[in-house]
Formats: sequence, structure tokens, C-alpha cells
Amino acid sequence: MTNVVRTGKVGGAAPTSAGLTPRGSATAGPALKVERLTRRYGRTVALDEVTFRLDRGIVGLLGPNGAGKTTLLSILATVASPDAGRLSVLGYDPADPAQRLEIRRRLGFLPQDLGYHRHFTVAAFLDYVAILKEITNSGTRHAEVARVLAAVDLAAKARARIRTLSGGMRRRLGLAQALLGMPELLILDEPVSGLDPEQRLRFRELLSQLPGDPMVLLATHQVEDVTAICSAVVVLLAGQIRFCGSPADLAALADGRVWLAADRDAAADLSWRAGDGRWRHIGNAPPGAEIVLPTAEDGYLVLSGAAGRDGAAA
Amino acid sequence: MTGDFWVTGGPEETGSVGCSVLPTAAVVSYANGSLDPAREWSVEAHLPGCPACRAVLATHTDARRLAANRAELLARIGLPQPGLIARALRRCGVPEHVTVLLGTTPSLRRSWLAGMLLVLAVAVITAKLATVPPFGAPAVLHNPGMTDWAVLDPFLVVGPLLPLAAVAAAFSPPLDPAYRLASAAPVSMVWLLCVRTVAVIAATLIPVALAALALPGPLWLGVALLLPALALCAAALGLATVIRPAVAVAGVTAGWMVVVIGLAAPAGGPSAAFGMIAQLTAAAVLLVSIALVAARRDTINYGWMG
Repeated sequence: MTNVVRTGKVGGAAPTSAGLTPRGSATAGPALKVERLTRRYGRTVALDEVTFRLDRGIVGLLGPNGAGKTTLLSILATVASPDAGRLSVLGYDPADPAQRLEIRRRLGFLPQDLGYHRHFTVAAFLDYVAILKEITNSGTRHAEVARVLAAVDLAAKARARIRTLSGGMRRRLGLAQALLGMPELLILDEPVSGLDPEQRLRFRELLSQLPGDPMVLLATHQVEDVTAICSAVVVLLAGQIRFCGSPADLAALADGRVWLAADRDAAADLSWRAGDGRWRHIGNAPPGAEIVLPTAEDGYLVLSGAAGRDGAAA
Repeated sequence: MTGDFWVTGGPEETGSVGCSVLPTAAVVSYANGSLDPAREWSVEAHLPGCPACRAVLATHTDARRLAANRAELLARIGLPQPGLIARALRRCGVPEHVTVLLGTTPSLRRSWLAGMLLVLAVAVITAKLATVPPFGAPAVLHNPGMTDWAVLDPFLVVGPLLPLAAVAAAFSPPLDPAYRLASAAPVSMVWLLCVRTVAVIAATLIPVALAALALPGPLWLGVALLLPALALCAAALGLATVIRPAVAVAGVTAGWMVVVIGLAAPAGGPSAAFGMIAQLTAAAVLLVSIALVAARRDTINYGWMG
């Protein structure tokens, strides 16, 4: 199966054939190294020989529903295991139980569905997760719970039952539990879903000011969040890595292919009416169209459109 | 309070603006949290009656520190007070964080325990009623052919399985919505397995044994149930390190029912499953299973009962 990967200039080259870190030693190399990672669910191939490497920083993982983002994040978070392939997380091999433990000690994970017991209050939930993160001293733990509550602006809701919180508040609570213990690696699956624009801005601010400068890998549908805060982007389509590079390089994929015209062009790959009433086209130039600078979203649409055509051709 | 109190080891500046008692530096030190407890208490006793010092305090308050204190206070208030059982466990020396973990065990919740007690009550009442003739019927015609042992059959089959069900539920993802978070956490799964299993078995076996004592059968039955029940739990956990945990639990349950109902019937009914040979077999299964769990502990992950 052909796995077309567009590679950007920063954020780590992809794909790579670099060997993984020897067991038992963490290195100062790339924070994440993934090599020919494959995961199947029955006949469905969720991840198809995925290969990339990422340096530290804030990295966005873009892809439509069903692209394999959650599967990839679950494997990186040591919750699931791959059927084939090798990976290194912070220099540790998750296949080795002792090294998997070291990863978990440095990890903050926000799954797509934040599970919680019905009787939990906000503070009790964080207290519970802090214990799971080996913060057993009650004084230290309560101070840490307070720290993350304040970080996500939920201190006033400490006594509230989680089931009474709004969707946005629950997402912030999910982020708070991931921040417990000042992790070195944050893996966030759809952290901004359900957040209003102001909360998304606060979220960006929070991620940009995390103590200890952890690596952040966040899966999202929001291309604008990626361009706003991420130093690198990975695009996953149908279980395959299609791009790994900077947001600017993602935008550059649509260079010379984005146009504004007065009328809709049926021949365009994609077209929609912009706010000023003109039509924005992605594809070949329609008659009388004006070429415009592409955005990262345009680059993503070019990639996903190409993937769609590849899939249709297959 | 005297000036000497502050001079000895304290700030040397004396007399804040409008106050002849406390030096400004003392109030500033109080504001940034660098005073020792004795001096803190002194300042706090002084502040309510001194507007000048309160004004100094207001201009030197560290807003970030106050916000952190407020957040910690709110967090502490938001933590539930330990319940009766948790307090009792702490008095027995169980660490505080362990009681929190036990409090989130699905099969230690009140609803689960209430359900188990209901099952036991039904089994006991059914057995009791079966030994009593219906109202107005002659006792001699009641359940002809049924022995005293036969009325115990449902309890003998189900009783030892209750701890197994509770252990399986303690690690069942559908009953533990936070399992995905836990599975990415560094907490030792083997340790958690041991803590939760011991707690669940204790919480389940005691009512089962007491129910056995309430049955019309012999008193030793309550004790005789313990070893087979423990062996069933251990066998399921041991097998779960080799095959899918749900299959292991189902297999052990089916195996127990085959042994008790099928194989023990020719030997005199389910009660034969609690005789001396059965006890020795259960002890052997228990030891082998514990060894298997210990040898394959690396395969144990949170949510692996799913």
C-alpha cells in the first residue's frame, strides 16, 4: 500500500528509519519515535505502518473522524499496544514493563471520553487521579489538586459533582487531571471540543505557559488551534501519516491552488462562499479568479482531498 | 506583645506608620508568608484592632499567593469527608490514599453490596421455606424425596461464586468509568489488584459465611465455603494472565457449576464439593493460581478484566 507522506522542514523529518533507543536508557533525542506502527481491529486497519519522529514542543495531530488519531494516541499513552512496529516515547520503549512505567510517570493523558464515577466531585476526582499518579502524600496531593484547579480556572467548582458541570467545564477538568504531577509529555485527545471561543483562547494560553515546558501532542479538528500554538503538525488520514512538518509548510501544500472568484466553479476540488460573498476555490484557477495566500486549513484540505481521491481510485 | 519580641531575631525596623506596636517589616513578612508560626499568630491577633497595619498588609499582599491559598482551600473543601468504613480502616493503619482507592472499587459500593446481600437473603429464605410445609399442608407430604441437602443446592452453587463476581467487577471497565485514565497511570497494577481483591473478598466472604450459618444445614458449611471461594477467585485471576479475563471468569464459573452440579451429584450432591478431598483440591488450585499471577504479573493491566 502506498503511503504518501508530505514532509515539512521543521518539527522532525518524516518518515525516518532511525533506530529506536536501546532499552533501559532514555536519550535526549526525539521525544517520540514511531516506526512502521500498525494496529488492526478485525479486518479494519486503524494504523497502517505509521512512521514519524517528533521533537519537543506543541504538536497538533490533525485528521478526520476515523483516521486513527485516537488509536495512535492510545498506543503512545501506553493504554493500547500495536500489532506491529516499534516506538519510543521520551526515549523509553513501552513494550518493556519497566520502561512503560517510566513513561507513565512522565505522562499526562486526556482521553477522548473522560470517564468518572457518578459520585465524584471535581476535587475528589482529581484527588483520585493524583493517587493513581503515585502522589500518595495527602498534603502534597491536595496542593497539587489546588494547583491544577486554579490553572484551568475551576477552583470555584471544586465541590461540584462532575455530572453537574457543562461540557466545556468537563473538558477543562480533563485537562486538569492530565496536568497533575507536572508531566513531561501531555497527550490530549480532542482537548478543545466543547470549549467556547474564550475558553479555547484560555486553553491556548495555558498550553503556552505550562511549567517545565513539556511536550504536548494534541489531536484536534480545529486547524486554527494548530496554527495558533503548534510548532509542528502531523496529518493522519485513513490510518496513514500524510504530512509531518510546520503549520507554514502545511499551508504551503496549497500554494498556487487557492483562488477567490465571483462565481462558483464546478470544476474546483473544493469551493465555498466566503464572508465577503466571493467564492473560495481550491484546485485549478477558475476564469477571472484571484490567487490568494493559502492557510494551513487550505493545505489540510488539499491533503484530505488528495487522500479522498486516492481512496476512490483504490 | 512587646517590641523585644520582634527585635530578637525579627525585623529591626520598628513602628509602622500609625502603629506603635508592630514594625512595618513584620507586617510585610506576614504578607509574604515568611514569619514563623508564633509571630504569625501575634500579627493575626493584632491586625483586627489596627487599621494602620491592615493598610500596610493590603499594599503588600501577594495576589498570586492568595489565589493559590484560596484554590487549595477550595480543593480541600471539595474533598469528601471519609466515611465510616474509611475512618475505621485508617484507625487500623490503612494509609489514607489506599482508603480512597478502595472507595472507588465498583464492588465495594453500597449498591453492589446491597445487591449481594439481597441474593444471599433470597437463597437463605428459599432454603428456610423449603424446609417448612406450606400453611395448612401436612408436613409429611411436603416436597417428597427432597433431602435437607437438596434445599441448600442453590446456595452451594451461588455462594462461592459471589466473591468471584465481586473480584471481576472490581476490575471491570464497564463498572469503572475512569479505567482509561487509570490504565495510563503509573500506579502498580499488581499492588492495586492485591489491595482491591483482598478488600473485595473480605467484604463478600464474610456475608456469605454468615449466610451459610443461617441456613438449615450444618454449621461447618460456613467455613467449608471459604477455601473453594478463594480458589475460584485465584483461578480466575491466574487464568486471566493467560487468556482474556472475561473468558477466564466465564470459564471458571462454568467449571464450578459443572463440578458442583454435574460431577458431585453422583457422590451425594453439591455438598460433596465441600468435603475433605474438595478442600485439598481447592487449596492446591489456590496455591498454583497465586504462583501463576506472581509469575505473569507483567501482563496485568488496568481494565484488563474487560
